[in-house]
Amino acid sequence: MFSLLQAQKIRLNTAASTLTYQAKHIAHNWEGVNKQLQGLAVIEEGLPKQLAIKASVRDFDSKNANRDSHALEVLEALRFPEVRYYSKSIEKTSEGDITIVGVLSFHGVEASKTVIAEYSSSNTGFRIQGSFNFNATDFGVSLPSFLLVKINETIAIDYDLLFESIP
Amino acid sequence: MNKILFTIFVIVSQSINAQNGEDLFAEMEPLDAIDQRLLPDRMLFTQRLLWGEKGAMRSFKRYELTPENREKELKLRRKFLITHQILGYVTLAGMIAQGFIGGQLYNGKRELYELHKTVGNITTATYFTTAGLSLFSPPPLVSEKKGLSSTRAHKWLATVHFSAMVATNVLADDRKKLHRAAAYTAFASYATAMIVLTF
Repeated sequence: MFSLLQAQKIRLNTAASTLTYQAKHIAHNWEGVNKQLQGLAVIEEGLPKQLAIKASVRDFDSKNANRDSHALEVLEALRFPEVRYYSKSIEKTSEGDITIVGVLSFHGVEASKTVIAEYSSSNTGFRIQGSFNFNATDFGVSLPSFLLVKINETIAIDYDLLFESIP
Repeated sequence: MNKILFTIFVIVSQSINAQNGEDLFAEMEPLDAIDQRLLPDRMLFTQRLLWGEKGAMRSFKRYELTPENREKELKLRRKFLITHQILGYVTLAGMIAQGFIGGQLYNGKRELYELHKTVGNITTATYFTTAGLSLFSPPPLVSEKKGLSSTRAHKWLATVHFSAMVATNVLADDRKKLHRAAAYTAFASYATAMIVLTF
């Protein structure tokens, strides 16, 4: 009964959260940052119980509009405008770490994705940070090429997400 | 009274707990309307003529401005730009070959004249096809940002090598020194335009 009383929803603080991809090509490496994320989390007894995050693929900025434009073409942004991640279960695995078993939805394909995130709590919410890799081709993305060489299919994702209750 | 409050509280709390992560998306705001724009604010005038909101292609049902058609256009754009890349390398190879053949020709090997002319015609054809694939491709989804970028440098250099390529061809027959100077300008700016894209 006590846990039911404690359950509450808190929002992602968009201004303080980022999602960054890192991509590689033989000619150069680059990254794109999204600072327009949306998210919600359910916390219970001070710990996250569920969370969901979404981002528009148009909001990733790699500081090169031409590259971002090509990315939108490759990702078929008009058909699949969002990247989503939501949890199935969340467990605190050690002091300062949580394991999130969830689903990554990208380019119209859903796949299970378990991540281990650094976790820190505060009076107003919690922050999770970490990184993971995924293969773009697993999500049906046709890899773009430059100098007739395709980019590396492994994309690294860094996330820094702050969830806070709205005063 | 207390029983009623307690029941309401339990129902509300249970509704929160019954949710899984996926259900939370229903409570988020939809994507900003700006995300649904089909055309960029700015595009090349050649692209606007064909693919702008009132461009020539829009009179065909197949190319009416709809999300589905724009999706197809963006696939077409990728094909244009991949071919642009491939033909770009072919053109560069032709320019390098012309550098050697032309150099020999200027040193008195007159027997190379026909070869120089043939390679020149092929290089000119691939060059202008490459340019056309860029100028008339369907526009991207978003505009280029203001300020210096590798793409902008690529485009600025394109105006230089485009002019130099025209001059190279116009001066081909009777202005040898100017023809050579224009050809070298075309090659140097063209090669630089390709290199800047790697940054």
